[in-house]
Amino acid sequence: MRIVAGLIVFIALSLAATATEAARSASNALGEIDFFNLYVEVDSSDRNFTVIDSRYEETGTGAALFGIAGALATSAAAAGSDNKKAEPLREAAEAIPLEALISDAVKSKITSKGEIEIADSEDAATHRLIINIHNYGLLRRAKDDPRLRAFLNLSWEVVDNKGRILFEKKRENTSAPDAYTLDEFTPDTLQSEFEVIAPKAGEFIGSQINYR
Amino acid sequence: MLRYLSIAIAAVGLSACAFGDETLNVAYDVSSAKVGVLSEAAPATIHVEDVADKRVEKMRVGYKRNGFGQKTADILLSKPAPEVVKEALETVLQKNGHILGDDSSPLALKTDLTNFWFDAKTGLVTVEFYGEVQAEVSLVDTASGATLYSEVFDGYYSEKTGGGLRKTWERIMNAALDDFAAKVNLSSGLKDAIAAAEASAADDEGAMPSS
Repeated sequence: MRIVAGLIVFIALSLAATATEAARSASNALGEIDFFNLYVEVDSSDRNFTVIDSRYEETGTGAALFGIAGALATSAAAAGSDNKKAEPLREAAEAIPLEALISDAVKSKITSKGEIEIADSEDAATHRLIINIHNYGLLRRAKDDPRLRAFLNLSWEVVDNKGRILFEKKRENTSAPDAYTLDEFTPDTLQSEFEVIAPKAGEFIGSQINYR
Repeated sequence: MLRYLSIAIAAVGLSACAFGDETLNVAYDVSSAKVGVLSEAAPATIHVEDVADKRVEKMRVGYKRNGFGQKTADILLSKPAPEVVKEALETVLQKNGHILGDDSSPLALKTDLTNFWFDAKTGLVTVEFYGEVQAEVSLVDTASGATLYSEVFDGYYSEKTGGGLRKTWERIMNAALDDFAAKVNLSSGLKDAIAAAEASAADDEGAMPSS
């Protein structure tokens, strides 16, 4: 019995140590990467349009955006209300070419410094930059301000040609500077807001690589 | 007898650990500050105003929680969060060659701090600690009061580990503050706004009749 308990503790500690090590090694290494040829890809398999208004009002934060559980959990009623608010804009939102807007901006920013080449294919690259689109949509500005602004939540990682993750950033959130009431958001307004913030998010990732 | 005494001492120790407030020393590490996009704008004199505290939770930056996630004590900062953020902004500007001015300077950074928070998500054998620092930073023309540029910067850092106490929590919050400062440092929009304001000021000076 003692042996089994000891074994369980050993396994748990080993797993914990491995997780800590992985997190540390992947978080501080951007400055150490010797980029030469970078292939940029944008993965939209987790792309999700959402409005965070009622949920923000309920918790006083945008925590719903990041799926933060526990004390800040939101009610099903607030989530349902937000879903209804998102519905009229969903089709227009899903038609916005976020992938191209982000990808073009990243490539343009990186090449502007002239230190790293952009590869045409994965095979020709020394490293891959993988950007994942997660939640995007409209986020309430503040608890006491019902206006909303466009936001885009990404994560990204740099992988070497052996598939090893050299750096990862789990949350890269970009918000639009201007806020509007929900009624003021038409498909055109939505599109123009994302045409501003998606390139901004891409440029920002490119700048982090340029100034690493 | 000795056994009971040890158990009692251990119990008191653990209670104090779980139920006593914890104070973290969080500050932007000047030595880790890098030159960034803001350096691409010509040096400008900018007054960093006191940061307005717009957080929902102003009294603490997190909660200590027990194994069931219940709050047992507060996590505090040794220095008020708005001051920590103001110092980080000043360091970023200086590192990029800008000059810190006073309230007579033509440009000011006006900041609303909306979040400064530490928390944890518990898994089966690991716990993921995360820190968030979020503020809306605006570049303001002090003469007219007009906002020239505004951006929400969202600093975040998380780490999965087997466990951790004050030192780990401090490291997480310092990394979140670093991420916030890096975002300000790399803001093309803020850089363009500073450059445009400086160019406009130079034009105005050029147009002034010499006495």
